[in-house]
Amino acid sequence: MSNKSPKKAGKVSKGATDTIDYSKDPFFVKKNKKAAETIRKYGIPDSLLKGKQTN
Amino acid sequence: MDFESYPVTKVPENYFYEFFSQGPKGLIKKVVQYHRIEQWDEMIFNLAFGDWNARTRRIDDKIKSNNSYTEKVLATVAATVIQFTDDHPEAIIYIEGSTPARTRLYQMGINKHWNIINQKVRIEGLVNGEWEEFRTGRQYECFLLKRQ
Repeated sequence: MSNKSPKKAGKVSKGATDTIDYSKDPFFVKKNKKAAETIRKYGIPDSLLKGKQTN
Repeated sequence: MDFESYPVTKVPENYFYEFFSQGPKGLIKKVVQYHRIEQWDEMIFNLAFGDWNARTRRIDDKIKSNNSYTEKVLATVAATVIQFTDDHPEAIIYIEGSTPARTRLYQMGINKHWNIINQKVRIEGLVNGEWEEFRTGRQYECFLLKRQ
């Protein structure tokens, strides 16, 4: 049986420090996509917004 | 805001915060993420958080740790909101639970401490497709938050 760790998505650093690239995590990716869709659908209330939507 | 919370580590290169919560199943590492939603001139960020599964090396929304949504955990997440908006005072934070039940849990936390929260932030809640200024007693689908 191999002792090697399975390949992981995202950044993996070698050496003593294990750097985790959370930005590629599927859970976060999915939530971020849903948030973007909700805001695209319903917009941002004027009370919070100062700038304009770029697209 | 002065609630009991866990100590938080801020990951410097990205908008992430890590902390460990203690409960019946031991220490659970939790990760809070602020992700910029790019289509807007305004700095709009999605807040997401979950448990780090050390075995799968993924955020695991399904872990039933019984630690996940205690007051102290939610207070810690709230503390990261304050820290993050201290660094980014113009940021608008989008908040929604991964399930309606969790969104209700967040709302219960906001309701409970509304008198204090209201002094620091402005919150809008989405209900029936419309944003409205947050008020207790309403059931919202998600929230937008900005520092006052």
